[in-house]
Amino acid sequence: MLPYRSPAEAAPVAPGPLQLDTDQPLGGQVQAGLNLWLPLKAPVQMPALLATIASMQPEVDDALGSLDYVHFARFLPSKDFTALWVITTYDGDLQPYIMDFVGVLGDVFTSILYFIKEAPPLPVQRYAREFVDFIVRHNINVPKPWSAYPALTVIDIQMLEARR
Amino acid sequence: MTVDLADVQGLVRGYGPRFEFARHFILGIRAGAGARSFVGGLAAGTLGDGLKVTTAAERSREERPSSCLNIAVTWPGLNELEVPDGVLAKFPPAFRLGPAVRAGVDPRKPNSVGLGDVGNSAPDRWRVGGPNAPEVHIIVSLYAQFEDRLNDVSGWLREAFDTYGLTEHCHRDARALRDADDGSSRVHFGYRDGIAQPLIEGIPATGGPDMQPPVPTGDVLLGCDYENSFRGNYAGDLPNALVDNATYGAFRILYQDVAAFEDLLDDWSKAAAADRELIAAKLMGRWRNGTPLVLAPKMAGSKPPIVPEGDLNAFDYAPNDDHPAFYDDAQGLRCPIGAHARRLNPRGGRVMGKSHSRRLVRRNMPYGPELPSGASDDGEDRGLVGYFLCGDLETQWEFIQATWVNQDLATHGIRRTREPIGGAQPAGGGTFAIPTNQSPGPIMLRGLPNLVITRGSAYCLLPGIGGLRHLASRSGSNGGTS
Repeated sequence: MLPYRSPAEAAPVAPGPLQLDTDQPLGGQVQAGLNLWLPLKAPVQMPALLATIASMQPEVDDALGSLDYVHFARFLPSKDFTALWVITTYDGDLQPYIMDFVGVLGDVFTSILYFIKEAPPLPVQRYAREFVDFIVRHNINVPKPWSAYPALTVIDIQMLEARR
Repeated sequence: MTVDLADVQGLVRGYGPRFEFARHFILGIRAGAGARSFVGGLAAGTLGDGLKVTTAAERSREERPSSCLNIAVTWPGLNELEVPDGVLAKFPPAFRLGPAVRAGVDPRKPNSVGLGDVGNSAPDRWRVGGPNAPEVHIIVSLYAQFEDRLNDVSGWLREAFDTYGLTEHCHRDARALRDADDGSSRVHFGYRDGIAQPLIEGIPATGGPDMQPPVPTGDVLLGCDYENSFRGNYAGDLPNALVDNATYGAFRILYQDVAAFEDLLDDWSKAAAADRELIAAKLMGRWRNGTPLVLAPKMAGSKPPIVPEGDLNAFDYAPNDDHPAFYDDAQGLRCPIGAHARRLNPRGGRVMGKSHSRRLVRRNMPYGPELPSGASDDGEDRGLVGYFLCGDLETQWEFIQATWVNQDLATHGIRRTREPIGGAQPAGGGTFAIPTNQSPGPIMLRGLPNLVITRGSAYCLLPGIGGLRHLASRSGSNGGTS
């Protein structure tokens, strides 16, 4: 392989007599919320469901980290154990990226949906379109989440962090 | 993964640089029964000399004739072929609705251009596939080594069209552009073409190493228990007899405004005080001779740099597991984040979503006469015509058009910009950012016009050979039992 590594790359083009700008994002918030409401077949199964989720936590963490668009995610049982909430904050539009969830979290969602009332056919990888429809139907649309940095994506933040 | 290459249409594997000519026949069906006979005859090779669908198994020069044929069917075409309603309903929405409908922009998103087919690229201006053009049912694509062969086979095909109840709405010719020095194929903008094609699991490689994982077979082919990047199969509940070894194709006719492109290079090279070939390279991510910027970011004296042929596609934008010491171009100092090639195939670079999951097989050739160097626009129609093949039009083709080409969130460093070559630029012109490591930051070049205009499009299914036979049979139509 050619020695392409170059720690001190020279500027490819010297700044010339042109209007300069910085790479500032568009106005408006880039983050949105996914608030999945998943009613259980039987509340008595909630401990088993939570145990299943706990056993898959490392896989969930790796998967979410690999997507580069999820800021936060958590599983939240309702107080009466009738439903599980999946609450995330992510970048961009939901629809184009649902398949990415299927790709990296398909097994996790299949395991969770086993406990859920009127779940789509499983496994979700096999019935991706039905899974997408299910997610859209069970997403409780609320106003965009408040954000202290509305214009920054996960990648923007991590790139800034890397420069520090 | 084993793929029955004899059941896959040859276009999936590709024909390499051998063919100089192509002709796409845009057809309508007058009579379903006749059209089914045509489809079956073309699959079986019973329509006459040279009239047989080429498969991916025919590779060697001895096996391959001096022309190749492929056939694609739209969803309205499947309807005209009398595929049962229950099967038609199982196709994905994008394929069912077609590109003209899918080009519609969501009114709730005032800044969106959807798939980018707006303004001069809007479907009502299309010559193929738009609301003001005849409905497309079948596209037969002929590739030939010599013009005589192209015309001979065209004549035989047209006789068959008449015999089997097909109407030729129009045809679109293409012809390879060759570099005067090395004979490599080029596009009208002057870039070397056809370098980056995905390696597909189960299909013999046609290109060099690309430092990317092979594309899962299911990202390109349907059925047969193939697995796609999302660990499913895009066939869904469609009958295996119809879709095993099929692929979807976005057929596109893309006008290229060469004069505007060359004018842009003049303007921006002055604005940035840089060589116009460097500007061309920054826009594409490769020098016009094909050399990737990541491997060779600077001019070699007064000329663009050259790397060995085998290295043209062997690069990444970041270190990866197999090449942990590879140069990290995270800031785009060598190849701008927004460059055409990087946007459409981010490789291992940071991008939202699952890495390497939206690869397309590109099967396009130039059409129209070359614009002589330095000439102003002559009003001629020229550009690219052909297919972008994939396992799912919405997940791959439309995702790339909507999200990577015409939006600015997928990664950092592209905010307020669209893909510079094929993106739908805003009124007043688009912006392109060239990152530098010098204060005050990136060079922002403005006034980017629309360089590519869509002149036609159709979403097609390219069935496998078995699928074509199934379509032709009574069991594949309403006359049968399935």
